[in-house]
Amino acid sequence: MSTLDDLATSLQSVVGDEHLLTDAAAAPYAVDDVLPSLVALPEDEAQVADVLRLADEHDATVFPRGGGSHLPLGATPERVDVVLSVERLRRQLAYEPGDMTTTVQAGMPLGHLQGVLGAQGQFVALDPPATAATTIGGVIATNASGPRRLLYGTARDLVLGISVVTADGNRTKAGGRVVKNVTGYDLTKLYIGSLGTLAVALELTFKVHPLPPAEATLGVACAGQADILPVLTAFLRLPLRLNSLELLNTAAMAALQANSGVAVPMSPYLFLARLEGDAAVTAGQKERIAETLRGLSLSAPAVTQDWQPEEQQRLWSCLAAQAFLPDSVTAKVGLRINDLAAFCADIEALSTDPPWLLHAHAGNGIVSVQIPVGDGNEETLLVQIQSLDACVARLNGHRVIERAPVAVKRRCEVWGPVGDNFAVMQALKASYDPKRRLNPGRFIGGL
Amino acid sequence: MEQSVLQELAAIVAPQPLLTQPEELLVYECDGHTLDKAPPDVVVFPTNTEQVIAIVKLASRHGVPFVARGAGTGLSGGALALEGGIVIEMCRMNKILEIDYGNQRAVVQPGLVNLHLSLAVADGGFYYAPDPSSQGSCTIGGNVAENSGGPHTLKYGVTTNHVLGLEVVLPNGDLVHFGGAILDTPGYDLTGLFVGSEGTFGIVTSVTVRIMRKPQAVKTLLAFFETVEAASNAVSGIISAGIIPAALEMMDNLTIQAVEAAIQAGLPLDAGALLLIELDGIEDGMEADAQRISDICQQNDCQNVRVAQDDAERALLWKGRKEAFGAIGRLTPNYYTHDGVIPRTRLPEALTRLQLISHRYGLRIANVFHAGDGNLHPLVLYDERDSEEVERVLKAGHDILQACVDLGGVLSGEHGIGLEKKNCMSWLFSEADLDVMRRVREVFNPQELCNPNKVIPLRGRCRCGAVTHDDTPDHETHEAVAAAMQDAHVHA
Repeated sequence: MSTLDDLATSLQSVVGDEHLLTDAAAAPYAVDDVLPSLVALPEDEAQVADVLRLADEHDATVFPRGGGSHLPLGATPERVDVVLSVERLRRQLAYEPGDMTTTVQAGMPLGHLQGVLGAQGQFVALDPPATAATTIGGVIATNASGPRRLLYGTARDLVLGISVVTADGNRTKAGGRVVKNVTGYDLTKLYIGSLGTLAVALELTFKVHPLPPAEATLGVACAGQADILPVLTAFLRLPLRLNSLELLNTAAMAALQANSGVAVPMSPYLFLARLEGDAAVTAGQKERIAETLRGLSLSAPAVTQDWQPEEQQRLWSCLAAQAFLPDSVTAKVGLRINDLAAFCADIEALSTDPPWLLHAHAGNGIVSVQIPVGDGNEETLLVQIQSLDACVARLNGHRVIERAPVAVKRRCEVWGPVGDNFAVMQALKASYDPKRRLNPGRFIGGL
Repeated sequence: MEQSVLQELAAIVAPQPLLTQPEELLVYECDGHTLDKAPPDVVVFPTNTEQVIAIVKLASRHGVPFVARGAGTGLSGGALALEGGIVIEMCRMNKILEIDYGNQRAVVQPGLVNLHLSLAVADGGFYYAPDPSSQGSCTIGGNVAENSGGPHTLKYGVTTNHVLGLEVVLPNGDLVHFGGAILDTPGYDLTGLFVGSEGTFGIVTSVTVRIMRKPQAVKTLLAFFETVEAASNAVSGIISAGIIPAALEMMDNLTIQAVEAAIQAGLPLDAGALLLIELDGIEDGMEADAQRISDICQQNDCQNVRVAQDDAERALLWKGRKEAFGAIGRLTPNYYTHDGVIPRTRLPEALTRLQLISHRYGLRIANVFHAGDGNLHPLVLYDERDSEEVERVLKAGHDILQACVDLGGVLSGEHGIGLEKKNCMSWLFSEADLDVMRRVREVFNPQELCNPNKVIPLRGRCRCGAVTHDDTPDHETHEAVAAAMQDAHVHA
């Protein structure tokens, strides 16, 4: 009996027959097309710990998984012994609206949590691209974020505490269930975005926010790249309750119009600004924006666009869904806010065909670049990634390939170059997971 | 410390002198936590990163402990040279290296005084949000070490939410960079891990921070209540209404008296509690929010609501809050403070527990705290010349922290664990939890020379430092109190 067969038998006795998947049943859990030998679906903390302990004893690698929607993030693994799915750990463990905190299991779908909180007029201010399957644990492991980060920040600003199981099967926790806490090292920050390479998240405590009384979206179309910076600066300087400020290029706009069925004013660039407040407050803010835009000296007057409330909803949900556009290479680029316009100019200058889709969280300097695969082969795509990297490097930015055909991923540095701090990262990985059981090779620098 | 090490140290920072005379070292024998004291062997004042690297390498080579120090305003003994050695005083590295309004960033040296950053960017319409009460003297480097908070962190977060990048001299002398001006640096969030590590992971030599646009409008209200319970209920009411004020601070009667004696702001001396509530943001809708807050206070038996009419009055109201600790000095030669946090909804129970503790030990406790985020600041009044009273103070402090933990809270919201509370860590964390933290520390600080023996007790070693009191929780008493509280709660 091979080691893995032996492990399968042991795991079966832990999670039960029907929750240990193999062969065809395991196929939907593939990591970058690499089929897992075993998929374990534990139902509680003790089972998670047992799965990890048994895998460790059998020298098996473990790939933690939530809903799988963000699983393409990370370098392609060589082999996948066990996928540990937390999808059955989906309970809300604590929620006291008056404290504005909640504790949930890692496998709880984000959408489900928002529903529960929404009933109390609250929400977790995380709005990453998500499907119905997207779990809290997956969002945190990938540090996924969305447009609302402009006002509310990212997971590092919203997660108060975390319980994890380390590779040796020990459960440990960090942080707490209160909104302000310096008791002990802030390991919570270390776990956020660590792609399951240090430990498997079990429970997370979030700070929640009151839902805004209402929202209003305003579109501002710019006639060219030269107008981006003045408009962006105006938005960031105006006194507004602005929770999102997105910038799209024409290709991204066209996709959004096609996907949403909502008419979008076609132009070289479009800002989508989302304001908070009741109707009177947002109307006042829109007026202030329009007035300020009229005062700017632009290459052509900026055109503002209003939409019906229902259309606004559709625009935002379709915009988020574009992250999952099939058949494209999706890169996340980080830049200084003020370099966004220069970056757009550089991408324009590449005159790519088909054109790349640019979608930026403009107030944060985070850009999603989507390179359509089209009929391009692997080589063409690699050349295009090189062109992108040159644009990013010129502005001292960074980029991560979030999604790409596996053949492309295998041949590019998914996370980009490491910095002078990489020895610290390696030492942390070695400290947590000395035998490299958890998600080996998938994170930055092959961690 | 060997004479040769001192000579090498002197050569590194020449012509800056070293401090080695006992009278020179007196001021460095403690920080704002004055119950424990230990003098360093030497204090050195580096003026640049290269000197910090050289000092750290020297210390590492000779096995000499070292601790970085900012303004020494910390409240948990974080800057105390517990095992002697070198205090690396960072106050001369106090320059602003870069201000970039377009990108909403500033790069500063660690010795920069917190408030000086806000003043420097004020003309550009910006400020640095974390505002500890000591912001007129505490340094950004110290804030990074302690992950400092302040009254306005309710809405804007604490230091860690505003620090984007760090240049760090590791305890082996390596210079590394974490994060930076650009968000979402790929890899582990070492910036987030480092902030709040209380000087045990290395020494920061440059900090990249977020600076924020000053709010268009600010409105400051004072609401007076007959009892702290009524004020607590108003806090819950405001939060439940979906309003997140920029600040939501409470003072009890004892504090009101001390503050009024100090600054004559016209506070009613008979009020049981006051709430200092500040709204900020856009002008539109602020009046309506202020009115809603005022209504909520009225519904909770508020005696009176006073709205600051101008900046001068607003400044006066805040002066009372920011200088409350100092004002308490009028009532007592010494005070001891904790900053445990509890879930906001447990505030009334927590304050009742504090009263019980006050009665049990025959000590006056003044309360001035961040009510909005449940961050208590009970000030236990005492006279350090009375050693028996000091013993009671320590026991009361212990009981206060235990009460916070009992109520689902934590040991510290912003002051840090340091030396003071490290032996209480096991109330919240299992040995396995603490062991993970120890191992992370060993990654940075394997020789345990960089601010040794703080935050978490060393593995298998019970070196309790200068702390002499018994840290073992008195479970019997606490369970009895907890039962009584439960009972009171049920019948309330």
